[in-house]
Amino acid sequence: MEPHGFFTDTSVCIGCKACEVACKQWNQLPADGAYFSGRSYDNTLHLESTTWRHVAFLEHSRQLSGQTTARPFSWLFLSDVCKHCNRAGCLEACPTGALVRTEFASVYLQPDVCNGCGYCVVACPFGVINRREDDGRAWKCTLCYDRQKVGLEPACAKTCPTDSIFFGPVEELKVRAQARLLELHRKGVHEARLYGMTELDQPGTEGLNAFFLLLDRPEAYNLPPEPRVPTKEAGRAWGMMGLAALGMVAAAIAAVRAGGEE
Amino acid sequence: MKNPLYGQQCNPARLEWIRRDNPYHKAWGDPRYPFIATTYRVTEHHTAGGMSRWLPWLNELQPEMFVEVSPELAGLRGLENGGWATVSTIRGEIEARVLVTERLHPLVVQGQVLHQVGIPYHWSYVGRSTGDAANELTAFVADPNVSIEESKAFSVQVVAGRRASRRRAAAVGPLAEPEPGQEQGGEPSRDLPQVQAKKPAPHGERSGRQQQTEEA
Ligand code: SF4
Repeated sequence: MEPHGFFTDTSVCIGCKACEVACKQWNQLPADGAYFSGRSYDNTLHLESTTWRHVAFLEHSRQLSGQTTARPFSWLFLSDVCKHCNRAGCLEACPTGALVRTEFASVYLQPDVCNGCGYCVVACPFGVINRREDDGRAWKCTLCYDRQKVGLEPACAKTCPTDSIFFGPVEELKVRAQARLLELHRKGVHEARLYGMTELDQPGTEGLNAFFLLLDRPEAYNLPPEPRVPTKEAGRAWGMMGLAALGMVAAAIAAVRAGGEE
Repeated sequence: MKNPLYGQQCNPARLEWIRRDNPYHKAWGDPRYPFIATTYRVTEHHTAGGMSRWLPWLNELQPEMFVEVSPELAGLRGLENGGWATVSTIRGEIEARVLVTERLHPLVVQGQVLHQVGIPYHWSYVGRSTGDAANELTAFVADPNVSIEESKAFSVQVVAGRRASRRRAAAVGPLAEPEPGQEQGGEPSRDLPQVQAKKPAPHGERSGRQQQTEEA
């Protein structure tokens, strides 16, 4: 099976939140409770163990090129989701093997194996995966593995009225994304950029299977500009540890020899 | 604020229902109601929310009745983002959460600063998420053909904090004193409509359907 993923084009998102509801309905996730945030129309605020698609609404006093407003202002929408990284921190941190890479290249959590240790929670550079308080286990977007198995596209992509969420083979998505970016640049939307499409763009995750087209810097969307999977640092960390151990041994030998000379 | 283009200020063909429990604002420059308001819907709920406010999946997306104001109006009235505001017209008053946003900003019309208030439609008193209804505020004015209520532009007063009680003109009479001079044939408050609401049936007259059933 070739790798499948999402291309989320925020330039056509209308902020209808249909994806967020479709996701909850298909996966039968509970509501997070009613909380009025006062932060634009965003009242769920972030991805959660029970919110696998989250539509962020961001208001900035910043003029973006290609837009006309009375005052410097931008209102951005982003339908955020698990990125299904090529180098997935959660998957590498999981001690039980609950997190696996599927035949569609997505990162899938098997709830019957998960023991709720929470190692994956801190290993995700995007803060996607989280534990549910009521059952203790970690939960996240499955890229609708069950739907993909029977040849359906994921619920969010299916429901999105503007095709802001596009599902398909990752190689096809890349071509589509490049074309869209070129088109936007030609129309004078100079800040438009792709986020995490290839390993070159994002070496810390080796590229995302669910990547984005953004209209501003990643920071404007509360996305990390240079995410790094913690296990990427493992080699260096072990090397340093080795070096430190060698140093300790050397110091001990030196101390013994210095003592013996007296 | 008067319309600079026409002498006639209000739609002469509109329907109005003039009675004590249905008071109206002055159509221009009413100092009791200095801000302009509009009503609209958001994608998360359906019409007045009677169906959608039962769904937790939708309630978490828009959990409470809110009004949108510009940072300028929030400063002027001491409104706090996420706090409470009471919005009133002469017909009723509602409380709502405050959403301060730069999407709204004051208009300058004929050299005068006009603050805007955005009021979504979706709350009322039943459902899993309840709140005050925007329809408590809107004026009873309708178009002459199909009697659709005009609810997209009216004037309001906004103060910080929750309402003391849900006062309604229908229950207690007009919520504000008439403007001094307005009653005693001073400056007119509105152009009068040329079409009025259908006259109520005279006492004792029965509707066509009643008659039919009686005959049958
Ligand atoms: S369904 Fe599509 S348009 Fe609607 S909020 Fe989600 S991504 Fe945006």
